[in-house]
Amino acid sequence: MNQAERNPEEVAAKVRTEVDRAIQRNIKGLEFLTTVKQPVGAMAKDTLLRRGTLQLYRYRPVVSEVYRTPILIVSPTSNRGYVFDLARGQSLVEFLLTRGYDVFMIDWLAPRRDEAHLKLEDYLLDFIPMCLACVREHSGEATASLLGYCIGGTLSLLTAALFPESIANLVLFTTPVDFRHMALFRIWGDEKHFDVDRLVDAVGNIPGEFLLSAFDMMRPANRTAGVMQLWINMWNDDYVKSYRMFDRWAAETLPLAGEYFRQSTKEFLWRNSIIAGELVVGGRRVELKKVVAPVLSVVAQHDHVVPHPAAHPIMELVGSTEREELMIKGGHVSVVAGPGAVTRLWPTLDKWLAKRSL
Amino acid sequence: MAETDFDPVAAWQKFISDWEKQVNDASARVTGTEEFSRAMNQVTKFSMAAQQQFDKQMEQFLKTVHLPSKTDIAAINDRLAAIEDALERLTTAMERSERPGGTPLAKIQIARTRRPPPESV
Repeated sequence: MNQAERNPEEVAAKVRTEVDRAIQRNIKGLEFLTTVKQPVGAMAKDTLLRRGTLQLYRYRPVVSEVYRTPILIVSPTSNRGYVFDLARGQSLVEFLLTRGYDVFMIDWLAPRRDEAHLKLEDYLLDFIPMCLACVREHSGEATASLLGYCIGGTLSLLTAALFPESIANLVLFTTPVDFRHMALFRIWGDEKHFDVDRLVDAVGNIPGEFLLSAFDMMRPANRTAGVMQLWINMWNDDYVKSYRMFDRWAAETLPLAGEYFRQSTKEFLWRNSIIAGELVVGGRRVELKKVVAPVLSVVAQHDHVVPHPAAHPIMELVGSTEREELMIKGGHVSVVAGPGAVTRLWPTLDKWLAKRSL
Repeated sequence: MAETDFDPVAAWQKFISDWEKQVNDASARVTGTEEFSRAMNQVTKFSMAAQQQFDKQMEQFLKTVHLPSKTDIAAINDRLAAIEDALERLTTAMERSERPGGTPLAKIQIARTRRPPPESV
């Protein structure tokens, strides 16, 4: 349309909208600055286990009939599990409950000082098996579907290799196994320069701020750009609410138990021992070919933390006859609860899991 | 002459996205080098040593003026957390013993017979 031919009423309406939004930005901007933390967590739950850094929840079912196989979500050790249950309409847990699943979740808390000694063995041979036993007891079912995200996915995969008889299905969201492809972490954590022993010996548990700054350094412009986008969208309550939930989640990055960090750095970043088949946990060699449960591996197209090549070898290494990889548009976090997740991933996950949860 | 509607907000958003990508790409080129890794880890090492020294002196000062230090507070916090854990375990055990046969309540209540809708199978 020619500039001169534009309908003056349309132009006036557009100007009115923008003026209105500008006013709303100022009013809501003030509200934003004065409001306390955005509440998170949409679904009712009971805590079944609490032991130091470990918490196990069971979400209260919202339907009267559920699938036989329960789901155990394993959140990443560096972040709180509420990313799976941010708010109504933005909660994978809510989606799964309404679709008829019995949902449990391992949610890690900041490890205490006296938990700095925790190692991979504690997570893989104690915490997760203990939760699986609790899920068995509460559901009455011998097996469960494990659903892990990021390093929680890596722990889930290793658990499925160590205890294949307990796992019905394995769902992995952006799960790293080949750490050669996590380029920046690999360079920053190179053993030639990074003295992990000295760091752990000095601080005990690795502070959450240390991890958060590493994530920020990977994409240094994201935070500033995010604030600028927030200002533009300040008139939009849904956008602001979503921004604040994700911002809170990122800010609440958890510390990591010192020994667990030391061991993960050496085994995963330095030796790449999962891929090499050389990871030994509590005297047991972890062989991914022992994973026999059906596997669904979800990768994000624009994941700067766990790029596709870091997750793809799962498809080749597991012994499962049923294995599927699903590429979703989005980044490392939005793959769990972003628009792509809601419209594509969740329904696909339901379809994949339903027939395998009978 | 045909032209698209000019939307200053959309243009500004595109500018931010482009700027974000450019800065991130440029940063990755700098930080993804061995030189950067060496320098960063050196800085971390020095700042850690300085922090430890400062903590040590502060601890000594607080001890002198009979005030609790961060270590003392953290020790109390650990003990409280351990007590909370123990209480939690006791509560769970009590709840279980109050149920008939000590079985979990939820196991009795939910039917686990759901079937997927026909198109999912």
